[in-house]
Amino acid sequence: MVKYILKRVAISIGTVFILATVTFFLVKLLPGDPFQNPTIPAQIQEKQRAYYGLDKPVAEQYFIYMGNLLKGDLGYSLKKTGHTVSDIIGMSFPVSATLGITSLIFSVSIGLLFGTLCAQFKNKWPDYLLMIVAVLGIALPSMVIGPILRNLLGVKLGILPATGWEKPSSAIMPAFVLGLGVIAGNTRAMRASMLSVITQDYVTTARAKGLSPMQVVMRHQFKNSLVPILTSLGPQIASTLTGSFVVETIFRIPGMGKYFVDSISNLDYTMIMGLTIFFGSFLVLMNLLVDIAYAFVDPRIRFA
Amino acid sequence: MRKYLAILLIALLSATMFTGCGSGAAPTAAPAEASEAAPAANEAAPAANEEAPAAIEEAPAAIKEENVFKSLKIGIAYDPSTLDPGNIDIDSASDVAIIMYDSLLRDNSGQAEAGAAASWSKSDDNTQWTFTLRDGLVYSDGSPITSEDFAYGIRRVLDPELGFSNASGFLFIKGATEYYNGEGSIDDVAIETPDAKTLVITYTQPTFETEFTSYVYTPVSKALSEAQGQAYGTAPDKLLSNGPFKLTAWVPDASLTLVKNESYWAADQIKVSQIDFVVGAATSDTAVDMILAGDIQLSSFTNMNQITALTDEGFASKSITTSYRCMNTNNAGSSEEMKPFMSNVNFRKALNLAINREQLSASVLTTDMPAYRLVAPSEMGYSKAFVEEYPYQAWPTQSSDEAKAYLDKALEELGKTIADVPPLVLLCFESESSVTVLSAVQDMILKNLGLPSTISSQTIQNMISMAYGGQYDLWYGGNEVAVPDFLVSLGFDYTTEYHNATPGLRGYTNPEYDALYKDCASQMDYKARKDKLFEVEKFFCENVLNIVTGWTSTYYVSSPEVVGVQFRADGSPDYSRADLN
Repeated sequence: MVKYILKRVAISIGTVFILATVTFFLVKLLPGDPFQNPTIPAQIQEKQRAYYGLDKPVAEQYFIYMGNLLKGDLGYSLKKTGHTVSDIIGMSFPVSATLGITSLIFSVSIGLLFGTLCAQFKNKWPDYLLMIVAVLGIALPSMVIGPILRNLLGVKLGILPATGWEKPSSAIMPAFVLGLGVIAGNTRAMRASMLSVITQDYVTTARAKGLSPMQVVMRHQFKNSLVPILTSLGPQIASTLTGSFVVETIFRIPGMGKYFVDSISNLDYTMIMGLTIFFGSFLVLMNLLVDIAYAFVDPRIRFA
Repeated sequence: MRKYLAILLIALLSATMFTGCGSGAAPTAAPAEASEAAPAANEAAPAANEEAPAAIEEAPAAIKEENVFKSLKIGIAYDPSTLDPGNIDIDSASDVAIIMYDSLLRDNSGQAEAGAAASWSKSDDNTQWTFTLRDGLVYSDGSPITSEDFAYGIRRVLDPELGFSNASGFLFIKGATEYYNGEGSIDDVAIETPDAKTLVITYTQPTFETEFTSYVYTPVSKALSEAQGQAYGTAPDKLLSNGPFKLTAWVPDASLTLVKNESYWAADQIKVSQIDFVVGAATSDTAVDMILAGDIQLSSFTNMNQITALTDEGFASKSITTSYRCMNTNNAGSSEEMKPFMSNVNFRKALNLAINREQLSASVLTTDMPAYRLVAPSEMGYSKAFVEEYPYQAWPTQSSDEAKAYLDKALEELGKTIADVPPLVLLCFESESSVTVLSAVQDMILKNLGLPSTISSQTIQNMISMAYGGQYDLWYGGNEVAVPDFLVSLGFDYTTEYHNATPGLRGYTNPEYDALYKDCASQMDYKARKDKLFEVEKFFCENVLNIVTGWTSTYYVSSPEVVGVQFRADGSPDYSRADLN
């Protein structure tokens, strides 16, 4: 087990290194210049490039960046003047992560419940009804359902904060909107997985032993259906916890989502690099944790 | 088992539905109350602006109310990247900086008056300015301010090693350009501090009072600035200010809280105890909902649907012209084939007259006023509005026939036919609204001139990069209304000096225009400058250096109880004298 984990950690570090290298050179290929600005005289633009070391050859810039990266220094943002990339991630990630966790708890719970119910009522009206409800979550994009809910619950009814991140209740609407799209995927995956488990011999044996239907579902079907869900959960956690540009903008949440979009649009090189490395590392970590979790969910899986 | 699960399912769906519904009788008191009071506020707002000095004289009444805690929440579009005066670069940051920093002079509804400097004098040619600071000036932490702090604030921004974006404002100080370009010393930059209260600055060209109302002319604590380095201005404990309000909290991407600075020299004129700037709450549907929900009391908008949604509910609205909307012309053309056409004045006149400004304002640019000349109605002349002092209409209202006539004339001069004209490249930002505007312009050019074009929509930095590379014929954008006038912005952008620094950007050089520009910039008298400025404007319009389509207004929508917001010469808001009825 320990050997397996160490091997996976080594592979993960190598993956992040390759990711950082490829991203660095890809970023330099993006058209445009972060400091070109028609309202700022050319000589000032030159000083700004020099200040951030962008006047040096690209290869030199790469070695400087990687050297700093090894020391944990992601550099200063080119656009959010005076702020380090680490500080920006440090301030915005907890917000996005809190929202993401809330959203995931909601969407995974509902997805598992809907999927279980759909499997139990296969091809009957509850199956169809729940799948319609779940698919509606995907059909209604957050940029449509978000403003509608904000106006209805936040302005007209006044039962939830319309925007912001000041109160615990501020997370309810954005978490709901963020989770809607995830529910359908989890419902379908859980339904399919459980249907394959329902026909297994050990389920028939459990029934023959006289266990109640609820015990059969919870002890023998539900747990063994979770492996496919876990597989998709790793990337799902990484993408949900690192923010959503649309939802954060609609509900005015100070998370990471907007930086992913703004940094590319503004050619904030250091920010793009920092976010990519952070997201990549987080994704690799989540996948590693999911692999380890397999062993606990399904004892048949062993780490060779 | 299945029965239980079915019951569970029904219960779950029922609960979801009840959560989504709720009482239809929930109170919407804020808009209803606002509705009754709105007309009065609408009428009162302009009066409050016009009568600012009178309001200031009523200080004793304000003192009686000083124990009343008044809090104002204002929506701004973006989180300031920094509040370092040397690097402030977006409107949202500027809105905050204006109430945090007290400059040498103060812009009181467009008129310069004493600020941190109690008095000032200037040389006959308006190049040397001597300021005498008020007694007892202190930073928000109580530490004293001397003329050396103001001098340091300028010298620091001019440091070529630090690359401050606002250095351009100081490059006209004598010796500054040489120092910035590494050809001189900081000691040669003409900023002197003969004593702790006197600051003397010498410029290479005539300068006017409005220049010193900018927040870049604010004192900076050398000790704190050097201690914080690049982080100066990024948090409440990483800056010092001297204005009406001081920053006490800054939650990144969420809000900034400023409280009244009791040590400000005119603290008795400040009526509001606390101002919160709420980030992400301007020019959007989110801001509309926040005003309706009572989460903010004031915000800015540029979309007429959003403005109407609020004014229909009784909120007060005031519009201020903030920028020119224009199709920047690349006078060198996007290609060698296009160059002869775009550099032909009659071809540019044809394009200019083919664009129907009224139609654009009526359909896609609904907060724009059609422009018939370069100078906006809001811009000041020497004593009143420039457009009143110098009446002029450069372009007719509707003129497709005239546009076609100019095109024929251009083709005749060039010995070409319409088939020889390559498709025009129309460049813009990749937003939906920009593409919509250019689609309308594309249709107008095709319909009125028979000229095809392609739209190139790009990310912001790529768009700028393409503009620098001259990869456009018309570039949709805007230019802010400048202080003291357009000579320092669009006016300068068409000089040979600007062209040499950025060869691809405008593609225009003309010795006649250079001479006009220089003549205007060197005028020592404000009236004479405006006279010359009119000549520059006429040349600019008659030669179609840039196709100005409209003057863009920003609408400030507020709860009716908000009064006393002032607007500066450049159209930016000054909330420091706001009050709540």
